[in-house]
Amino acid sequence: MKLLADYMWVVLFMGLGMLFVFGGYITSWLIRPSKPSSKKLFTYECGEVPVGSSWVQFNIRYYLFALIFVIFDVEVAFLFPWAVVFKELGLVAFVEMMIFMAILLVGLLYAWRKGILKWM
Amino acid sequence: MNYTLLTPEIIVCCTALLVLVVDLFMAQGEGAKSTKSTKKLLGWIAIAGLVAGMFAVYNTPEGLAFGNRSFVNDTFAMYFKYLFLGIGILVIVSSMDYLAERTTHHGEYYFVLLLVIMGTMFMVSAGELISLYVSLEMLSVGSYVLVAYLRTRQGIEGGIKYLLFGAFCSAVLLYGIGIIYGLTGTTEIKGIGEFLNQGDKGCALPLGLAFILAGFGFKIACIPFHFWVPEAYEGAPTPITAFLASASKVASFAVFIRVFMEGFIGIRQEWTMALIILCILTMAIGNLSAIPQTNIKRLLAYSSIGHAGYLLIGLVIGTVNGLSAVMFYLLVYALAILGIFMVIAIISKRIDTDEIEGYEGMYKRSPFLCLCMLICLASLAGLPPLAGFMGKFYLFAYAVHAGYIYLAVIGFIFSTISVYYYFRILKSMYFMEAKDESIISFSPLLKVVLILIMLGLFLIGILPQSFISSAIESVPKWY
Repeated sequence: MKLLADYMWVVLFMGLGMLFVFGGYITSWLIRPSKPSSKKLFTYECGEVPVGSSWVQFNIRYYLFALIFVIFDVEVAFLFPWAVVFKELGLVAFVEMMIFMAILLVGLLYAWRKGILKWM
Repeated sequence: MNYTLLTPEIIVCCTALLVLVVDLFMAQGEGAKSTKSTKKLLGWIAIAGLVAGMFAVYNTPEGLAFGNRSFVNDTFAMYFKYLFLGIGILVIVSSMDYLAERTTHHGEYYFVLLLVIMGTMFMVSAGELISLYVSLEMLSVGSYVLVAYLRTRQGIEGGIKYLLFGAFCSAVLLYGIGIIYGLTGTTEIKGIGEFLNQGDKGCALPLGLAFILAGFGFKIACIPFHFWVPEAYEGAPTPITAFLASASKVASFAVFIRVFMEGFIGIRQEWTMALIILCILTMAIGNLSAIPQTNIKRLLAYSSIGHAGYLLIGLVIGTVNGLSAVMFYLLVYALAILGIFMVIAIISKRIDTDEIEGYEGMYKRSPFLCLCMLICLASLAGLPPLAGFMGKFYLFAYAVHAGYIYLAVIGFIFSTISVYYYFRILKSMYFMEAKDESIISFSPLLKVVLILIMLGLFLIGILPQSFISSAIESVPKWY
């Protein structure tokens, strides 16, 4: 019986979880104003009027460039807090960050040798 | 901060980066000859790194690397690190031969494989749930890539299934970790154990336990979480199948043991029943589903599910003896399964299929490979005097000793059933007529490694004492 009582909490938890999701939908459905218009069904394209279908092929290189950008973007995000406390941490922090950057540079090296940086 | 404890992992990581850089600067000459020797070189660098890693494990003292328990180097972790590095060497030896004509991208393959091995090493050293989760992901993400590495139809299907199922299960695991953290206020496994021993348990504990059990159940491939196993094993390059069946499973069992025996041992009665049910289901469904399989890799996938079932018996027992039996069993299981997949990798290079039909009359084409298959399969089935027999003997004997006679009986029944489907492979190898009688030749290196595996299986089977006692010494005194 004790086991059953314990699992009651699980059931309660699941029930509350579902209530949280569907409750949100139902409440917003009840209280929101409803003014449908055809413009609201447009594909969202940063506020511009969309041109053509969204099923276009684009060059895979955009994706690779974005990927490399993200790596270094994140690196910079780590560099800022590191720079703030750099004086207190001293040499160890410097060496650690250099190792981190060296590993990321291997990524850049890889991209370079594989010819990803060449735009064709 | 004590970085010397991390030496083995640092060596493996540096080897991985070295392999990638060497590949970038040497593979430029497109001449066929130079490329081929370069590819071999990459494999040898990886092996050298793993051997150096083994020496480093030997020379590394026990202790905590970062003051907290996020990296614990104890005898338990070191036992498994030897095992992973050994498995890594065998997988790379097998890959060097298997990949030669199948792909030109070798650098990335060894790079990812070495990082995955590093992930398993961090996993067994994690004494804290967050570092455990991160290293588990290091293992998983690399495995998804490696399963689909050859970009065959089945490979991609297996990889996608593995990825979707794995992502879902690791989310569930993370949710479980979150709940346990919320209850106990710590992510350190030892701290969780101390908290739960005080008897002050929260109401969501069964939920957190169930989620963590599901997450680990996925990695060890026990029954309700096993759907990815046959596809991933079938589609993956054969050496990677060997890796998934050995290192991935061993690492998952290691963290399973650490979390449940160090963290949740105080609340045994909450999870023992669930574990017993999983254990019986896994043994039954794994072994019974293996019977109708016609593809050898799928058959072994189901049989490896069955083996996860036997191993769960040791966790149900939960004593030092039971855990040492699990660790010993993992060693002999990994050795036999690696031997089998090495043979399959060599043969598939020639017959271009993994169907059991293709193995008909193999006895005439390569008696040596057949002998190797015979010994490894007999060890998996648990026939004396091979290592697999001793593994099962210890596991079942300790189960009887601890009062779980019915588990030992069920385990014994299903391991008898497993003899049937293992010997179906042998039957087609030894007693069927060959369609093509050309001799299968392979490199002397592989021959030496296979002989060593067979000798190892005999040695452990005849003199198990020193191995089991080293396993007993490696079990920490968590109780």
